[in-house]
Amino acid sequence: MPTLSAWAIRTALVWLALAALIGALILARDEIGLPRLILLRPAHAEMMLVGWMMQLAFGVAHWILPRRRVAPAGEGRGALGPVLFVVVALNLGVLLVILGATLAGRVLEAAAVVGFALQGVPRIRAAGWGATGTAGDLVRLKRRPEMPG
Amino acid sequence: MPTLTRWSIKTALAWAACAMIIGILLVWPGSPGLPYPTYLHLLTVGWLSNLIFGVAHWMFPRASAERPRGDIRPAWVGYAALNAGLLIRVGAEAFRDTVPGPWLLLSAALQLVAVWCWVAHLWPRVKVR
Repeated sequence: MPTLSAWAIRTALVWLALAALIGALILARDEIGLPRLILLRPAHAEMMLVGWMMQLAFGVAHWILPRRRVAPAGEGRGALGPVLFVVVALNLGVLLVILGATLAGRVLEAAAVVGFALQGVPRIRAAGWGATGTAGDLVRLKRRPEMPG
Repeated sequence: MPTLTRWSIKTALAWAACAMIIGILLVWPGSPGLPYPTYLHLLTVGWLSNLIFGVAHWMFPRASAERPRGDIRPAWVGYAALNAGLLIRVGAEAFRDTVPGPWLLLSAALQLVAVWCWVAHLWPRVKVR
């Protein structure tokens, strides 16, 4: 598993553990005498759906999707910078949303999704078709001759 | 495919079928139904979480050569607690007026334990190779 996938999946597991705690408190709010915990429901949903599930999917996809055959050595999964941006933006986005800066958070989450799609789409192709993997050339939709081997 | 994965995926499919039926009942004229959050949790906990945990247990990198999936006891506890917790929640919300009791507290505790057990089980297997 590549380093960024490991970090994304670990971070997703942290969001899951936190979101489960909040979810349990919300579910038991009447029994524990804290009915206002229902106000945490949007944060619980954001952490579960974006922090946990979406980030897990990103991390696993980055690991599992076919690697680019036409790419500089070690960049078959895409250049490090854009992928790192996706992980940072997604987590910062979730954090901002649950802290109340919803618009800024959602913009960051959207940027992360677009960034992931730009990275991932060329890898959902037959080998030799798609991105070159060169710096600044995240998506290239021209067919290129396959590299030997 | 390991035994726990098979159980998790089959259980996930059963919850998905239940969720679809309850989804219909939610909008069926005259049906008492269940609270909408219960339906959502049948999908996200019953279906998605069981499926994710089951597949992760199967596909994540090996813990070690001797024990490829590590100590699987927390995972079994997680599986049992997750599904028991969800079942209790559905029952508690369906029969809230007729069977009072701290059922939702029990359900919450079980689901929390379940998730933490799964996280503890999967964490060591998320590693760079």
